[in-house]
Amino acid sequence: MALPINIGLFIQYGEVSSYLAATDFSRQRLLKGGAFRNELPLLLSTVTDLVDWNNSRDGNDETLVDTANYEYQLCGRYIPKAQQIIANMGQGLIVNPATGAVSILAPIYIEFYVGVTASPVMINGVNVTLPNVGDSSMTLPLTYIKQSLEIEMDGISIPRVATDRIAANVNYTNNDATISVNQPFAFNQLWVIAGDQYQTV
Amino acid sequence: MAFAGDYSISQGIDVTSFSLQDTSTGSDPNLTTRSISLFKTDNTLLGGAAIPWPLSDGSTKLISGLLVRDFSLNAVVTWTSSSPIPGSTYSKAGIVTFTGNSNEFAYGLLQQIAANQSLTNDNGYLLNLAIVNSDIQNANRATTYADQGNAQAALDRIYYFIVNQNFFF
Repeated sequence: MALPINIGLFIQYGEVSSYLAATDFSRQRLLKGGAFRNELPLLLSTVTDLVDWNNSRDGNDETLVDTANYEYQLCGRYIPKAQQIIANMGQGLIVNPATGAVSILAPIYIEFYVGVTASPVMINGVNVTLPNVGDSSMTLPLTYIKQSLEIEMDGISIPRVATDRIAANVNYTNNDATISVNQPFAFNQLWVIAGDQYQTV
Repeated sequence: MAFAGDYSISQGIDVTSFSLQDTSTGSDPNLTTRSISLFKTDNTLLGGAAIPWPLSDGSTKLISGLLVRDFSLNAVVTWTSSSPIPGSTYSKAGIVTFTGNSNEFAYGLLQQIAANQSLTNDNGYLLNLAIVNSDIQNANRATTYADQGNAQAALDRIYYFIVNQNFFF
């Protein structure tokens, strides 16, 4: 029978929190001269190893509920930081300025030939409709696109507001980004659009 | 095609038991017997004799109840052919270290702590548990270098904690 908690996730928290606690306690020891209880990193590391062992041995062993909850409790205030580190693969804290939520930056990459590539295409779990020949805009219905889309056409970077050549202006909202071109999309043009999207952890 | 004898060993939920898997490649229609010898560090055999692994048992064999404590073993599987094929290998040896009993002991201590967290305030309790856990890893590390002696030494230190746990925990 499946256990009521995600033991594998708790083990990840324990592994990261062991390191966080060790570095945190090292700094405190330096500043305070060692006059405090400092066994948490050792305890956390040991407990995580043993929960991991038993989870590998028998992932349905019900004693894991008690021991993993104890491990989770030991992680304590390191849990939020551990969650960020696990989600961002070691990067620093990323906050979506529109929501204040801790996030990751998911890459956006679209490459298509106008009038040739089948539409729609799936980007980060959302269908994006490609422009037809003759259209003068396209919309990326992706929430919280970081305002840094890079656009190329036939291998050339496209400016935003130039009037003496092809340009593609972008209007960002929290729900989408609309790309407007000053010359309609033409058959067989190769467009490449790249950027990042905030996704809440 | 020449016969190349090979095997793997794994432990399941029961830490006193383990499974052998015959992973040999090639074929020899004249194989007659198969057995495994588990040599301890003193070169005596665990269980007192080689363990028959009849071909009729198929590719998997469960050996139950033999690991009353943990050992690092030199496991030698031997295949016998009535008409050996030139270029074949009929014996395969490898260092295998079992840490199930040690882990189970340490996990039992963890269960006690989870139920009564003030235990970690007891003199030496946490440190001794950490030493046990460290020696489990040391046994595994030694095994990666085929160092049976040091792997067994780490297991022996843990066994000392187990048989004298009233003094240490």
